[in-house]
Amino acid sequence: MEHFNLVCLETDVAGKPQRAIKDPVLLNDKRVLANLLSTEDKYLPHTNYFNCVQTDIQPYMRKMVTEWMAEVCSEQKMEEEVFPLSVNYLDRFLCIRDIKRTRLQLLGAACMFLASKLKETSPVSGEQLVLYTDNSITLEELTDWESQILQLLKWDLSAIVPNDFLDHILHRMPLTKSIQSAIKRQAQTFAALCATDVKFMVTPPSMIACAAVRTALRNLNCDNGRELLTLHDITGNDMDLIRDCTEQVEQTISNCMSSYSSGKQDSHKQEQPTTPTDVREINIMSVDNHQGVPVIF
Amino acid sequence: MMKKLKRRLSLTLNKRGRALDESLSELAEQMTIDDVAALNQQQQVTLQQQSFQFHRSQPHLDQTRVPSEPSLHHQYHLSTNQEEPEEFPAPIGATQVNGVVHENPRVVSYSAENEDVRRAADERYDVVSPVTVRLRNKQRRLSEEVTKRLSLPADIRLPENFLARQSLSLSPDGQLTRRSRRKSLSEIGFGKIESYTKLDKLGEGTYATVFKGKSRLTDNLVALKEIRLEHEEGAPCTAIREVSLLRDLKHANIVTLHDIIHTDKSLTLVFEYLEKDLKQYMDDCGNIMSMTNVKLFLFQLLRGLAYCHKRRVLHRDLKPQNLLINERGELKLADFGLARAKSIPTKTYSNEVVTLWYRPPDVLLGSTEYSTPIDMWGVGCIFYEMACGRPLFPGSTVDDELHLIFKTLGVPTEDTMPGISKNAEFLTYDFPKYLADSLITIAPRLDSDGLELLAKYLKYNPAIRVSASDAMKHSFFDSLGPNVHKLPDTVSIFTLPGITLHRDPGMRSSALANTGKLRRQSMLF
Repeated sequence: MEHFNLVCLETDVAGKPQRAIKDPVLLNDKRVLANLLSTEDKYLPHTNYFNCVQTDIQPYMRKMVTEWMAEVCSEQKMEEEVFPLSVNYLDRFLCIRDIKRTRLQLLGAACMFLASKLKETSPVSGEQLVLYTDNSITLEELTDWESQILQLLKWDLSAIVPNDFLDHILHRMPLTKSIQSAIKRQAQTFAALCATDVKFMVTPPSMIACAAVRTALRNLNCDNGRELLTLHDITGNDMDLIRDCTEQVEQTISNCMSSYSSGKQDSHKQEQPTTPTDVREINIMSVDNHQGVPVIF
Repeated sequence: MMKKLKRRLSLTLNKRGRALDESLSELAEQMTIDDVAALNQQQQVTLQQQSFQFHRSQPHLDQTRVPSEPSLHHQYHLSTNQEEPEEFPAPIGATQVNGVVHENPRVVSYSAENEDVRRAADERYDVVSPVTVRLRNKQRRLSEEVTKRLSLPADIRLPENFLARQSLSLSPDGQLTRRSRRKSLSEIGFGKIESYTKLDKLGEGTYATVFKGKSRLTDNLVALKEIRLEHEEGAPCTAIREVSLLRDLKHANIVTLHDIIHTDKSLTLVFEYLEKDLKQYMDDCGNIMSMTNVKLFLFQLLRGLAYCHKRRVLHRDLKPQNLLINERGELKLADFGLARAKSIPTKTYSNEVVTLWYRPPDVLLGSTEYSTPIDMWGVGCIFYEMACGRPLFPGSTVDDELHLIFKTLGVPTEDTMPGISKNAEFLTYDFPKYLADSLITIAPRLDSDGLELLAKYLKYNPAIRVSASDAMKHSFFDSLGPNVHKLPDTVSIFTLPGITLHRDPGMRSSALANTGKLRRQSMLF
């Protein structure tokens, strides 16, 4: 009876998992946002590790791996925070330990494994992640690296990501409910895109959140010229820096969109994209591939 | 550029007949198709180049590259080069107030230098950061810097002979220097199971067994929470959540995590040891507690909870068994295995999230939209239980639990619980038209302030249920004095003059006096 009662209303609505409500206790309390702002720096990768730690890893490899991670996260319909969190673990790990390029995808998988365990009610299984690498890693390696990450990051996994700021920022902006949710979704997408771009690696999450919100506002023609000041008032971030960062975000988006349109033609010509992005392509590629993508450098 | 982008965005998305605001999957998909194609070409080129140049480029790299080091050591080296003060600033200068770590933030110059070093390092390596706001607030960063370095509990007492053996040097004030401290971390035995002696078993949960233990290093009692890893894929999520959350929670009313021991077969979390939990405490005093103590415990519970909520952490499993109490009367929240950062959606949280007795009716009726109020209902139930000596709603099933609640507080209406008239779950139960009792008849021991506060926790509508920080300001707590609100997070309320645990009327043997307890035990014969 008990089970029945709870479960029957807990099923997903229209295939979308229900999300925790916007809690006025949390959103109205200035200290929550202040606390987020004061702790965000602690979780930033403290260096551009390509120059001083890594001997093998190159920026383009990070891009490839993070994009693969974004795909896995979206295909598994993981929570929005899982992807940026796992990229955060990846970066922080790479700030500390030099690894070979052949281990980068394994590291990415283990980071997703941890982020999913932290954030999701039913975390992704290790086996699933192994499949996503096209069995290029083993379950044993995955758990082994997981514990290495835990030790290296000292179990400090509740990192702060741009998504954490979105509700707090939007809650404090004069927007209607529907606009607010539209902007939130776009901003989430932009923030995720930033996570794949090396140039935002050491940008504080609140800054990325501001820039993503501003980009979304402009994108939806909701900007009124005052939003820069509002964003500054909410987060305390410098207005010039928000403006610069917004430009960078827009640049990243337009790069991504333009390469998308040209890339699309390319992939039609080739008829064999390396990265399967939907089911049909996977079937064409190979049947026993298990949707896995080994990232080979 | 923006116009172009907008046009593109809408063009591409409209063509596919989807809304503009489709999320990550959308963009990730879009980006990967092309980027991978582009990357493939680039990758082939670079691969060739790199495999070709690999051997030759190696020595050249070595000259320019700073040797890679684990980050903490890296920072440490950088900062010691700057000839900063040798003493470990905060934790070592920490004063210990009865188990409470009181950090002494004497690190201004130190961290500022560290920042400069970092900045210098960043510049040297040409960080292509669009914005460099990380240096926005140096002050703010100090405490974090210190916490990051703190891997030993500040109250550690090392045996003299141990220090001699390790030839560790003490700074003039008799404390370990920072360098020795760092060097000695692993030598001392942290992170090793051999450093702890296992004593009695304290309890067994679904995923862990808890033992009382003793640290061989400090002779302090500890609680060892042993988590078996056999059936898990790697580290269990409960442990990951508990540890990563507890790491950030440093508060006088939250249990302290001392050490983590991670091996292939098991994971052991080492916590500070507290004598009993609130359940045992209430049993021991025959369920008749002094009202002063009720007030002290309730206030500490709220204090710990307000701190958690401020950090977006819900406990979600509040019950007397999870509130630990030491002899001084300090109450600490424990067992964060089910707690998760607030920002997590609810999807299908499982049944055992909140023990039924302390579960709010909105959740019992299937609401998945829960947040901080989920903990506040439980606070109300625990408050009642302490004051009245019996659980408020000891239901055995959801049905039973709801009946008990509605019998006492009345069947909810659209006024008291918006949306209830359309709640399918609620309608199928078809509850009798219970009317609300007045709280004074069920809680005669409470004064008017207490009754008013109790009612604030037991609101059907989660949106108007009192928050932890507001509840702390209620006049019920006025007798504790104004200073209880001014304490730093890590300082116990018992450091304030005039705040002491009272003797509970029902207590057969006084657990308040250390020696008295032992004497009375032997007199039982």
